[in-house]
Amino acid sequence: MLMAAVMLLVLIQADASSEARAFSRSYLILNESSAASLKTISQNSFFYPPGIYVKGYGEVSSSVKSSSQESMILDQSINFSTMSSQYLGMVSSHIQARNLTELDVSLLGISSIGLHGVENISLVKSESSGLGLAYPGEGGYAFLLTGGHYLHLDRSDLPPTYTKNLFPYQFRFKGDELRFEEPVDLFDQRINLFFGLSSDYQSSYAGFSLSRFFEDDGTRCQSEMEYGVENDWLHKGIEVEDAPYQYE
Amino acid sequence: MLHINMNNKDLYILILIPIIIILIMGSIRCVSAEVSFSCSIYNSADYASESVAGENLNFAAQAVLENELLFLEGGGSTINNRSLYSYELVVDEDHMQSAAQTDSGLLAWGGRATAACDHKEASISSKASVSDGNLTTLYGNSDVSVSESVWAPNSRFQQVAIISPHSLSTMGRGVANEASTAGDVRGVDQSLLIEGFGRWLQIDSRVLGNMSLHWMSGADSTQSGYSLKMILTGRSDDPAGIERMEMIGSGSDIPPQILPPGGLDVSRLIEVNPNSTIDARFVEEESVDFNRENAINASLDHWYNLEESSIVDLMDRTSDLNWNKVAGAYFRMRMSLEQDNN
Repeated sequence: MLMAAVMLLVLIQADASSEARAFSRSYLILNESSAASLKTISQNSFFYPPGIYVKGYGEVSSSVKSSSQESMILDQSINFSTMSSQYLGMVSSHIQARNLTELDVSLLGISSIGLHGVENISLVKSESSGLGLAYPGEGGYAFLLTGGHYLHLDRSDLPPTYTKNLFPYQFRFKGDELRFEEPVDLFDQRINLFFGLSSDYQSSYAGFSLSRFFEDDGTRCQSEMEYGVENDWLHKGIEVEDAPYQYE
Repeated sequence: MLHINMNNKDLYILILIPIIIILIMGSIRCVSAEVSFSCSIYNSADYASESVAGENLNFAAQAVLENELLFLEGGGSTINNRSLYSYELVVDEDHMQSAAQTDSGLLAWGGRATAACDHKEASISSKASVSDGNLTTLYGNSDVSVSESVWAPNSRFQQVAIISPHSLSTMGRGVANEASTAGDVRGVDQSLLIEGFGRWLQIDSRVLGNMSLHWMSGADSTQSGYSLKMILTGRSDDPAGIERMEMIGSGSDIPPQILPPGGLDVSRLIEVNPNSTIDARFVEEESVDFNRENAINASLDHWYNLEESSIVDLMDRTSDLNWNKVAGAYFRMRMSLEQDNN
């Protein structure tokens, strides 16, 4: 049994803008399934004067197996945000399962910034789209794909941009595969991959956060981790204009 | 080197008259000395004893015996940074223990026991610290034992413990400051183990490199169960400066939990993903991959265009995360384990 859903959102605004946000969320609720997979893909593009674009791509994939037919919830979301030209992305996975035996999670984010052409320097546009693919297993299920889009107008805070042409960067988190010899009674895990570019686009940062809880036979384990790297070296060697693009 | 051994001077006192008060005062101070001392007292209702053994110690003890009262008190501290001690306190069926050893730190402890009529109480409090060296501690009572080993290169760690017959609590804090010169390894290699009620829990952490680091560790035990926790947080100017970073939680009945939970990879792409929007061709490719990855022999039968039912959530912001920091790597790891006494 396979389900897929596609979502396409387009919003165009003919005025200046300083903030754009978009998100996609896939929500798979399973009833009496022993194996399930869910994959969500979302893209967002934000164009603003003077001819600059910021693009984001997010992808999250999860698969779970349990020792018996159980109720499980797989929740995935992808967020993009451009606020005062500071670009942020977050790819998230949340899994709740019982009698879990196997779990694989991977998250991917790509961001890029550049110039889309001097003939469209006044263009303000924001686009986003989302795709959800679900394998719900043998039991009953509910599958929801939702998306949101927001464009905020403010001419005042768009900063000068020194960017001529930046290469895109890929941020990937591959979770270690979990294999339990004995099924775990109760399992709840959230993983976020977050990435972004500074408002001057000269530095980037990426990281992940994990919150994992499980309970088995009277023993409870809660493990958490946050890790992030802010890089200046990522943009070394990039061409920089002598005179900055200045929005007026 | 001076050696003092008082094992053969244990006191056994029998109450023959209604009120007998006995006061024992002992004080031993020496350099590079091995010390052992034990004392036992009892009356018709209760029994109490304490014993200490170790090296390079100050130690003092006092005992009061009446026909309806037992009171025992003792405490000590180490006199140089290479020392060890083992202290035991027993009141009737209840047993408590505190022991520690260090090659670059200071140790101190105190114990007290009272038994009178229906009232009985006993406790041990301990402190231990280490700076750029090793520390091992062992704390226990009638229910559990907690053992901890710490290697803190170029770092400082201190710990306190409070032990009573059926509860035990330890808490430790450590700090390492980022070195001004590269190649100076600092951090912590620490193992914390609690055993009791036929089960065990353990947390092992190793964070080493050129970084600034703060960490905490602790154990708690009551008659209803016990727990362990460990938290590390730090940063390094250079991600490559973090030579080791791992935390493992394990137990007698749970699979090991390992941090980091996966790998983060950052790379620069040559080309932008050509799919500016998710079109039908792209969806078809993705669905084929998805089917192959999940070994699904089914075609894509259902399409749902959710354009009309899409929602706009103005409140669901992507968090800013407040990343106004200087370049470097930032991390935080936390592990918490709990065991019920079923």
